[in-house]
Amino acid sequence: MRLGEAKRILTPRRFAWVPFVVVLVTLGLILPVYWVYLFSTVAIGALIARSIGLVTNQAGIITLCQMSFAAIGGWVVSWIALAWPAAPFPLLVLIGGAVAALVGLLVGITTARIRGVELAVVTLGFAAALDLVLRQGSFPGVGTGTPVIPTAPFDDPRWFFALTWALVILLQLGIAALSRTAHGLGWTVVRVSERAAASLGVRVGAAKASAFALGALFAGIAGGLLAGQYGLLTTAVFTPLNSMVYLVTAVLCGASLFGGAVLAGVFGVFVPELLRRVGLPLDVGNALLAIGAFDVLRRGNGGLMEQLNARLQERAFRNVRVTCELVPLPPLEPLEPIEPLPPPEPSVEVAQTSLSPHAKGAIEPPLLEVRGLTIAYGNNRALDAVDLSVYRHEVHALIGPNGAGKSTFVDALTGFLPSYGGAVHLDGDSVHGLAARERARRGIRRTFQQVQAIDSITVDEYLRLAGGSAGTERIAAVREFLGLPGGAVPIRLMDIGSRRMLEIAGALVSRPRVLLLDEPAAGLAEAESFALAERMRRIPAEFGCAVLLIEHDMGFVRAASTRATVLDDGCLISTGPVSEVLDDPSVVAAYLGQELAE
Amino acid sequence: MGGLRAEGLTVKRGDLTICRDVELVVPEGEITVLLGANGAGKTTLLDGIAGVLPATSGSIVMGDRRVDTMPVHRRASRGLAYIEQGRSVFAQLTVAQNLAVVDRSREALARAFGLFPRLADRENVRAGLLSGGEQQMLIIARALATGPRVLLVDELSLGLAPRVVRTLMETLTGLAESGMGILLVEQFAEMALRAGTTAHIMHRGQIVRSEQCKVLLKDRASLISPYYLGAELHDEGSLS
Amino acid sequence: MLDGVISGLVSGSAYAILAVCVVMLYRLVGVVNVGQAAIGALGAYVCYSFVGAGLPLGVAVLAGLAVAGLTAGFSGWVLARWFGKPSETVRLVVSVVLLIVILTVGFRLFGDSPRVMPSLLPENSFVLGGVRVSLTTVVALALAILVAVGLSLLLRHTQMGIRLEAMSERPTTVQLLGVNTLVLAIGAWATAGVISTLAMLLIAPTRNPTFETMSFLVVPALAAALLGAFSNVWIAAIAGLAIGAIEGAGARIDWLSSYRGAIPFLLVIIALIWLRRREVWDAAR
Repeated sequence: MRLGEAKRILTPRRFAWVPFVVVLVTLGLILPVYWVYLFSTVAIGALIARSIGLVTNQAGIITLCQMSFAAIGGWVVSWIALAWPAAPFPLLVLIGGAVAALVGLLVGITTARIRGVELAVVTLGFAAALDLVLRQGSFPGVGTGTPVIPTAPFDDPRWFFALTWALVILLQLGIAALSRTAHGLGWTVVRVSERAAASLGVRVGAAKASAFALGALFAGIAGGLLAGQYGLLTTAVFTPLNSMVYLVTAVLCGASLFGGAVLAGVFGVFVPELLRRVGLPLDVGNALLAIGAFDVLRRGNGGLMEQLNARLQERAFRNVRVTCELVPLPPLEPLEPIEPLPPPEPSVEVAQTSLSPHAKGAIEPPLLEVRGLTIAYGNNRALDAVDLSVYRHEVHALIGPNGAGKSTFVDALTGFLPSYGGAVHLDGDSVHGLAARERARRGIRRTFQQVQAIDSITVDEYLRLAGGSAGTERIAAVREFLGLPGGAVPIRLMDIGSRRMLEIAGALVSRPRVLLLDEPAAGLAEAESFALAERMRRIPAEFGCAVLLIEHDMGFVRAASTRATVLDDGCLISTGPVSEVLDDPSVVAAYLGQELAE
Repeated sequence: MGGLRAEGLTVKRGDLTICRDVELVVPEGEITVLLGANGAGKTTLLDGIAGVLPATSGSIVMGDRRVDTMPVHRRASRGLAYIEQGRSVFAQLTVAQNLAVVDRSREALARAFGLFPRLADRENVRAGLLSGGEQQMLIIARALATGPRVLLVDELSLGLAPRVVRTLMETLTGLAESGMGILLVEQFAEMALRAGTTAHIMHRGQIVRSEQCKVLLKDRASLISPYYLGAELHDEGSLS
Repeated sequence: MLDGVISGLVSGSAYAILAVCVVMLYRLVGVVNVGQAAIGALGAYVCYSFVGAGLPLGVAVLAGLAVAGLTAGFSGWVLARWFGKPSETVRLVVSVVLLIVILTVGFRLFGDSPRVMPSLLPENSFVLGGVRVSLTTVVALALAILVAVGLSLLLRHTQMGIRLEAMSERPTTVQLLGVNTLVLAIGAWATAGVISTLAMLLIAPTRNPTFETMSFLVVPALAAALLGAFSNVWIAAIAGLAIGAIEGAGARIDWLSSYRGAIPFLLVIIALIWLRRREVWDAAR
């Protein structure tokens, strides 16, 4: 897809700002005061929903305490307004938001190692505790009957309307920009899997803490605006139940998108209005929103706006290629496999010469050296003193029957196992004790058996995220190498084989030193598999990194790699050039189970 | 007419169609072997027959009833038992309790211990603490307690010592001789072929070859190796 | 102080019972049910309404238990029937939906003004070791112990209990052995609903609750369940009693008294941070 085409394609993600602002200004000017007031409340509701959209829909953390952050913002604004009535109102609101953000950051940091439902329950506990504390006193100004009056001109409802919407729009623009940076994209990975995030070099703890802090900022500003709108605040506004109702509304509307947040604000205000006019009790509205959220969850396609966005994306990209296209390459000369360095004697310095890796008998130190890797669970040895060396310019296959320990091996190398026996050295430096994220940063990159590429972002965003600090210089080269679809294509529209290639592409973009691929050809059709194998063989020369690949498809292994190591039941049974290894009778026996039959 | 017949069976795992249009017969009184490299779709096929994964098309007939429309637990009560891959014991329950999930009676316990005397010594031991072989014995005994006529077995041998595997295979042979139809999925071809009557080889979700087991045993290298160890892939992607 | 602790045991027993229900339901069907207390409250309020309408006590209690059991069973059926294999967090949001819906129904039926609930037990009390102990306290404590012990025995010694335990480990394997896990799941929900109602019936007279405040008694119960990592029934029960006792003791300390409801949260978060300090990763490969 050429660059010109990419620009012409409607990216539905770009919100229609201009018409939206025009509509807002018009409404603000023509509507009677009562309706202007309502629409200001819509803005505040949208802000709260957007905060939930960020923490829950984007970062995947269920939060039941957003109204508590709003309460903090409202409290701060009330307190300052009481002490300094002349202070400009927008400044107060921002200060309230900042204080709430600090509390949110604190919550995020203390709960760094707590996740899932436990974290959700902790947020509920926080909400209940804060609610209790607030009930003991009252909000500043209530005792003396001094409401918060926003400073001029914001005491006029139309100006207040303008302020609320201006804040909403500015904050949305800010968060949208942040969501496109590597840090913001980190949120979407953390949502999918913390392992995947770490293997991409994302700091999981920082991502969670920042999501909480920013969500609290939004909610705190909303609370401050509520102080200005209501004048006198009560705890009834900020109950845990209200947090829950906002949660289900945000889920229903799909508040990770601005449109969804606005829709949530609209529902929050106009569903009760409608019920009031029809004569039904107002709390029925909560139940309706909750049931709506149930239906949305059942379908599993995201909230209303998210579904709409998905459909628009499908339409926009209907005639655009969304798969990886691997064109056949001219055949390569078969490479000579590299002779391994003889095992080092402890007291002798081994000379290291850098000869061309294509020369037969070349001696060079391995890039990745594993010695005596052992993993035992009680009596069960998953891996037993496995040695393996991967050289700088080779593609090395790790094969063996099911259950032989291959994936466990990669887990140990990349830091996903808490402990193991033996030593792993990358270019002479030990990686012992380094966390997964640190190993990824040092250049050991991996892919997973279950594809971890993320649905909600585009190809380019994923590559930028995976590239991390290595930057964007390689993206064009990798895109061409693996025949990726255009950068604006949403990953959601890609099939699983293409997503697998994208995952490999992401690893390549990060300038790895060694690439560990876990079944890269799984799910690929025969022809694609062959094309991928051809490319795999060229990776060391084109991208300067070594490849260790786990595969079951032996045709792929023959076409892609130069050397192979065979594991059986946790033990190394053969290593050497691929054709020799695959013809070795003991390897054949291991696969066919001949030993068992004896 | 016992046994099981699957026709035109297509099974998806998530969005990916793994098995396409598979036709397979598991006659009673025999062991039918299903071979293939990892990723060929053997487990998916078994999951589809048992109902763990829905079959998007095709039919499964047991005896004279179609079972593909039944939920999982109904198929079990119609005589289909499935021994899943990996050892699926209830680790926190004792041996006796594992059996009790199916049948609490002393007769059921006695039958299980009669078949596997080793288990009698471990009656009140938590299943998670048993050895691999003992766990597999427990799983077989537990499946048999449902009184099946067709047994699906997925990779019995995984992680077990050869001697243990041989014992278990003898048990399966005995069961087949008493009239049960067994579909045995194995990664390790040799041992399965020695016990089986008919073999099917799966590759990329389809059955590519069906043959008598003794024929395959005689010529194993040239018949089986391409599907396990691959061969040179040509440009058109055909296997040599 | 001691009499504060003792008086807190009624609440503590209710928290313990609710916590045990939450843990059981999580272990058996994988849902952290934030609506657990709301179901119990529904049953309790139905019972009180019937008592107020003049029905005999026994019939009213049975009616309340039946309503709670049916509501809970229906919820379990809906969750099992309408969802494939949702993630834990999706299930949590669904239980939030359940809570909101029940609160709406409760609000419609019973209003939101605090009521004085009739005690179903006589107001006797006696002195034990210098401390006044009410009959309600004894009954509540006995019920909490009975529930914890009873459920443990049920799970270990009846076939249904063994099947439920097996279900919590490997639900698919249980189905493959011919067991209808849907019926079991509904039964587990209904039982939890009935037991929660008993807990609510005991605790309600000691406070002046609204339907909403009763439903949010789930929060200390969740704190107790959280300490047991949602898997250990006994830790959850003991933690529930402890939380009640601490609240009761706190009521006697002037400066702490109004804030004592926040203590469980603080304790739980400190405990969790300590317990989870070594954990690194989330779900599997």
